[in-house]
Amino acid sequence: MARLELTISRHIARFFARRARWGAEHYITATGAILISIIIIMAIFAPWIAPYDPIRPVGDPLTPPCREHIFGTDSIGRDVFSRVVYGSRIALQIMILAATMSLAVGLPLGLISGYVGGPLDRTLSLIMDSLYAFPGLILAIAIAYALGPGVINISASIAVIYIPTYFRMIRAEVLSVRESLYVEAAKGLGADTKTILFKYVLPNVLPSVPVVFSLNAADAILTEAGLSFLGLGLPAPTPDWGFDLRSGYLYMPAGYWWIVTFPGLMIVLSTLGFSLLGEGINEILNPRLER
Amino acid sequence: MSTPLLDIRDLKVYYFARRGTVRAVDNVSLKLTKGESLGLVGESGCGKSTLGLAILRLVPEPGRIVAGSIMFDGLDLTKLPEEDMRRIRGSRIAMVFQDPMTSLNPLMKIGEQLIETLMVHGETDKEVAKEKAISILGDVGIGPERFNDYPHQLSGGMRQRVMVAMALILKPDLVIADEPTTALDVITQAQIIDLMKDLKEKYKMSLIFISHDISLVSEVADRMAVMYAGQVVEMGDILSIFDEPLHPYTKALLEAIPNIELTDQRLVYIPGSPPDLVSPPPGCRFHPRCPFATDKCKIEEPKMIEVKPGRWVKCFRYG
Repeated sequence: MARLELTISRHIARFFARRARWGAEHYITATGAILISIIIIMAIFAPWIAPYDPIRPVGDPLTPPCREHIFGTDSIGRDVFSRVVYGSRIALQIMILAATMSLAVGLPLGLISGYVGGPLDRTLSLIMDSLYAFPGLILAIAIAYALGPGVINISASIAVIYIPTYFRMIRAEVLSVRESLYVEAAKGLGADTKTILFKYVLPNVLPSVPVVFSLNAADAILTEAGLSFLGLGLPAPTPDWGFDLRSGYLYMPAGYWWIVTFPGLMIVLSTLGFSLLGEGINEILNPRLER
Repeated sequence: MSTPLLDIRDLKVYYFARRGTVRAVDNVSLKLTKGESLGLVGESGCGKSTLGLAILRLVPEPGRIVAGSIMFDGLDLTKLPEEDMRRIRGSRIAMVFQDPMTSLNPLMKIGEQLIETLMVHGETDKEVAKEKAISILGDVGIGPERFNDYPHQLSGGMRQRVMVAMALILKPDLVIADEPTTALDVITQAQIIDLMKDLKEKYKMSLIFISHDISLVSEVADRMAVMYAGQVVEMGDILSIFDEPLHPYTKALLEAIPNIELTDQRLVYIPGSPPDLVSPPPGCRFHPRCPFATDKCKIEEPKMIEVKPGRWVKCFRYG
């Protein structure tokens, strides 16, 4: 009996010892990753998870959470839970599109600007800095308004906000890599600009991309929700967290709390997930941040 | 004597820095024949490395080759279009840098880096390139099992061997080694030096060996050029410089070599430090530190004169 206890306690001790080696940054990353995985699973399996059609009335309007409608129904009787589940599709779609677009523009520009230098670099930096100086949401509103609704347009207007972030980060990295001895040595052995750029500079600046990408993703979801809330998002019946927030908040004072709470919670959780992941990766990849 | 492989004439390389023009290389003339190795000696900041980089036309901003010519095998490197110059780098003139720890791309396997060097110079067959890479690694004493290693998996000495291999893989006519052993410990240093000597013989290439260590240079070089404050002050073959240094600076450098037999002796050093190359002293640049300086040295700049055949010195004491 004592033997068994000893074995169990040893296992427990080992379990905690292993966990103790996990620093805070690993917990942060893991939490973020779990949150994001849940949302991704929700988006992929939405038709199986959601019990009802998200764009059609399926019950009495303004039913509080109950057995049939676990998150209740909205003002015209649509199932809030189904809308929340389907809403993750739009959120992720726009997030991925927006983040990819800003990366696709910001990275090459930063690479060229930093490597070539001179007047081109000064001009591009000036443009990017003036873009950066705008309050993000205001800029997105203006562009979204100009482009009109649609997934691509919304993504593009969000993407514009982050182009300078990628540009500045990549440019700064390129400036330091460009001066490194291995680039100098490659030049000394006759490597051409293309080789240096793609085999020496690019791979050495890439590690800093994921961090910005995930922080950018978090913000993209928030901005998309903001745009939808302001009516600049996708057209009406599409399930969208920001849009549902807007259509629900009118009923808040009357005590119908569930219409806004659940989409709002999703926005918070998804943003939190990406922020935690980004922060965690940053701390793991960047040993200088360790105490 | 046949035409020299490398003939540098009145070369001036200036850095146009914000605080003034740094005359890093000022009126340097050098000749190098095929298969010869030349040691370039001097204190830190006297323009040795800049001279090396200037030959490859890799002087960093805000530096520029201001005047003079660098004739390499009939081509004036100072006037060559950039694309032609790029083709020469690595294939005909290669460089080995000072710090092996950071001169390899940390994200590329060493074998790949060697292949890459061949590919940018027109090799198209990857298998042939790989064979060549393995064979040159063998030459520098690194087995084929290391082919897929990343630089961080190698020691400093091994990385420098890889750098040497990269410089030699295209069998260049001239290798410029800029303090290739400074970052290494003494034993590794000796191994790298031996390796370079052997490979120089094997491939019959010329070598410019840049170092602040005059005794190290004597190990490798046939001839030596002593640089001070951006100028060559003495030139000649190693033995005669060691036997009979002419320039006071060379004498001082030789006296500063620690001697293992005279244990009680204090280390000899040259008082003062090299001048700021933004405003070098007038006349002979060494006069503020020279024990033999006269009033003439303070006003007039001595000319480079040939005291004996092949023996040059820039000092008034010899004419």
